[in-house]
Amino acid sequence: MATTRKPHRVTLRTYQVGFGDCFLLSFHYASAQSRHILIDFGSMKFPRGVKGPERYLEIAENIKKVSGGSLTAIVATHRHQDHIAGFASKEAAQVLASLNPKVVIQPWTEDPRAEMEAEEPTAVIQKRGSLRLALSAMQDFAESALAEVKRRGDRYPRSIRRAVEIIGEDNISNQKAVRKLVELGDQGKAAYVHFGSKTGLERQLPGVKVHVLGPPTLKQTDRIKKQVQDHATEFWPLQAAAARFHSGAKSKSKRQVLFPGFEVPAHRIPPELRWILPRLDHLRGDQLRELVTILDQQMNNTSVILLFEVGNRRLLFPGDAQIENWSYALEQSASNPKLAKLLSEVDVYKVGHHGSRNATPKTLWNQFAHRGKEDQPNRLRSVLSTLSGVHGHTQKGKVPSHSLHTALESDTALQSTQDLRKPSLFHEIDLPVN
Amino acid sequence: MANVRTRSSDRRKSTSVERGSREPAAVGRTRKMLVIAQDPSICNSSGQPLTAEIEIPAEDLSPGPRGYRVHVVDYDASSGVLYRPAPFRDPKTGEPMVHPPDLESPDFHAQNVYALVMRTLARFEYALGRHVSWKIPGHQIKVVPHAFADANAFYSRRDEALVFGYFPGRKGMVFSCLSHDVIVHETCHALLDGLRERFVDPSSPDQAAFHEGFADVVALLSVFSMREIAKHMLTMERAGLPKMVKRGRIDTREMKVDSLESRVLFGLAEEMGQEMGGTRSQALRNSLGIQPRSDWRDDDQYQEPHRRGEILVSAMIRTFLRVWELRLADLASPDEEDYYVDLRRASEEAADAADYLLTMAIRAIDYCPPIHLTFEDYLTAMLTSDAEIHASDERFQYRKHLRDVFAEFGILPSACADPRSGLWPDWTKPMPAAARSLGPRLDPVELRYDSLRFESLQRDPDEVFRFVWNNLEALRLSRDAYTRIESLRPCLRLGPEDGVPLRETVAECLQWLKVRADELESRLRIKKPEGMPDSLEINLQGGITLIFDDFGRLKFGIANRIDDASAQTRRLQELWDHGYFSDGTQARRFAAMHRSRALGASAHAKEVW
Repeated sequence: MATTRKPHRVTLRTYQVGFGDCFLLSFHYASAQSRHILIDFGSMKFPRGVKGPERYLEIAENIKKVSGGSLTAIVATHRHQDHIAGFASKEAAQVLASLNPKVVIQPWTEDPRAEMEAEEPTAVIQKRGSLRLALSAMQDFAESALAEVKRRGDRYPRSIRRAVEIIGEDNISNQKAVRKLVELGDQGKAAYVHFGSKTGLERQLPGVKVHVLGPPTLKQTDRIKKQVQDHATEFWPLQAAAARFHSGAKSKSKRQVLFPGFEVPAHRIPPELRWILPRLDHLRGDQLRELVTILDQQMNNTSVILLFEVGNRRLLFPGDAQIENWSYALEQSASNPKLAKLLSEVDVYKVGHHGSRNATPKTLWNQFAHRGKEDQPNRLRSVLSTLSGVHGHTQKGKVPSHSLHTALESDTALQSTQDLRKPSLFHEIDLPVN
Repeated sequence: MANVRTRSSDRRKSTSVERGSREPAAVGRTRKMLVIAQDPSICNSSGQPLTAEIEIPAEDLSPGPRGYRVHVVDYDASSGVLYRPAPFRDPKTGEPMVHPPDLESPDFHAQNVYALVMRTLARFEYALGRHVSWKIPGHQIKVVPHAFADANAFYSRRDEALVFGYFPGRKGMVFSCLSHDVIVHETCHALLDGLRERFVDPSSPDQAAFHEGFADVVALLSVFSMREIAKHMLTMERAGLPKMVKRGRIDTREMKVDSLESRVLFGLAEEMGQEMGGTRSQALRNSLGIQPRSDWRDDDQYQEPHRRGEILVSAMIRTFLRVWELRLADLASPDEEDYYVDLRRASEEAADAADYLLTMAIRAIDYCPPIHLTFEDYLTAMLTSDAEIHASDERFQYRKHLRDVFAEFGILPSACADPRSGLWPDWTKPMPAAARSLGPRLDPVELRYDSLRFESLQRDPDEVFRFVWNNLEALRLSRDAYTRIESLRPCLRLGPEDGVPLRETVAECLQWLKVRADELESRLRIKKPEGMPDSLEINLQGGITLIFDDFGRLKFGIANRIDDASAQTRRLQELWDHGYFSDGTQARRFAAMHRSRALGASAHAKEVW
């Protein structure tokens, strides 16, 4: 279908999904045609009174209505539940499938063919394969950690137990959603992207340039290479194996025993040890929390970062990317004036990782030229999809971060889903394009 | 690992071990115990894990074992299972016993971990010439050999414990409590924490790197000091040296630093910790991979504390190799054109060189400033502490080699050291005029000893504080700061070769001064980092290590002072750049440190909100 070459308007709907992300980005052309992109579709926790499957369906139906039955693309930034769980919701996923998305964009780490396509350059394939192995082991670990918390969590402080449960659940394998995304990709075109790669949207969105700023490939950045490949590929499979050792035991009475015949029955624990054993349990809880937090961050760092350039507008969607993912793009921007200009001109910023303290790198923040008080012309708009009280166990680690939130309120026009009142389903930003 | 279990029948054949298990083992002041020499992946020629017999202080052990400094608690927090304490007395005879090296026996695991923790503790106490306390409220550190199913091991001050994890490996269960280097490394963290509590505080990049680097140095030298390991290094196939061995003698012409490094140590590095895989950083392999270069401080990777620590390890290992080469050459008789030396002697030379360097490395801690340590300070401390006990460096030239190798890494003795000798200036001697101009620490003015009692000075912190108070200006300490004597330790050190005693009293004096950022320049001439809010309150720290001789005179005053404007400016800038002031000044946790080291993770504090 022919369109005029450039959109004259762009709208962004931020749906209320609680602690999760779901955005509909629409480009409107003069010929009354519009093109729509769904960016993420998941939640870890909905606001009180909202039921997951119903909300997913409500959003899917809304998208169907707005889009007139056709979706240009779906972007699944990374495989965390709070970004893709909706695709596992049967009825909502059916509605989305009926919209025939033409392109499905995911990070290169999700490419299911990576391990099998032996004709591709082997160096690349092997690295992809080993990273996929690590990602899979990370999910295995998350499952085992959850099982351990279920078995032993009553011995940990409540805050630790809750943190492991929340982060663990976000990271467990969500095969149903992952499979659905592959299916949707097969239906149209699947694009597994990395820094600088094409998205397949070039033809679908006339007058719009889509820049992929992350994740970098292993070749592109030593930091990711070091952290994720060299170390994680060995580290996580062993951690997963360790955690799995006990996860087979479903109940306390069937616990795994390293040295059968050497156990001391619970009622015969000597008095001199009764103070130290609870400490060791607490310490184990700390360990689990630390591990699931690390793997959560590493998974966040596989996020696709997209920057849409349309006329005078720049819209930035970084998923949950943290500095390790961002660092390549930021390093490049130091020597690439075009990229630096793109970042400095951002008009709409989707706040990274629901407003956590480590997903809006200060180097990036300082580059935003449109930050400023209310009288700032073309003031930066920020959209924040979040829910307090879900993530973060300390004052400092709480999501959204207090200090970031204060800066967003002070220096940007902030739209937060926490400000949405029932029965509003979404916030909307409507921007003319010159 | 479990599949290399020593079966009962094998144990019966292994004479010295099994006889020991039913015989009194405690003799005199020490007792002998069997341990895994490094880890179960290092095997002897018959494929069995290499074991070693070590001597540790004798004590009456309760089941566990539970002694006066170490209590092994075999609790698995992943499953909630407590295993019964290992017995150390024969139930029939009541005599002390040792457990044979059965890798599947929790009793042997308990013995292995207990013996190596005790050996490390004893090593510190020998080197420092006194008891060394844990930094815990109690006296007995808890050692947990099977603490959780997790590929990690660490020291937890909060829980008063050294905890060791386990995980299923490629060939069976891998137990970190069976790895010599892991056990010593963690024990070393605990001991260093007791000796220099402030070394975990945010300060210079070197201090951040030191805990991990020092623990690796001690762990590796401890491994090399095992005669069994030294012999194994020379005879393992990987090294390719057996070809040079004739009738149990080895050609010293082939045993130069380069081949010792590339064949012997690299060979060992390949074997060590194989089953720990990527869960633990391979300190030996990593540090051998660092070639000496003086510009490493400009390289981003060495801004990471764990990577920076490997510089220290690399320098120490290279020093070890040079001394070993020299000691081997010393054994040969080139005049008689006999270059072959007995293999056993060659390996003993390695063990002795490692043992001597180990003592130097540990003893130096007493000669370090109490806070804001740099590698330069540590080098000077090693040189000075050794010169105090061992005046001549002629024979094996440990100090010369240390200085040379560290210089190749661009690490020179501290600017406050005597430039010629590289030693801390001796305050009891007249200062050379040239040295006096070098800086405030080289300007000893007359100290006041009014009414000071030497006896009290050795055990009464108030008496030391009185000395400090009377000499604040002479010691160039701040009169405004909160001042405290952090520790006071009388020592009796013995010369390693002649046994000549050296009595010293070591005191740590710390100072804290709270200032607002806008007062830094006006009060202390410290430059405020750009962007730091004027109202930010900063807790400046400084301190001095005081070493008194056996007449109660101050011999060394090793300081990093609060009012050292240039050092404090640099430190504040580095901490500000790394986001410590926005992130809170937290001491580091060892569990997280090991994890991030294993994962090669980077710190990005300044990017965080």
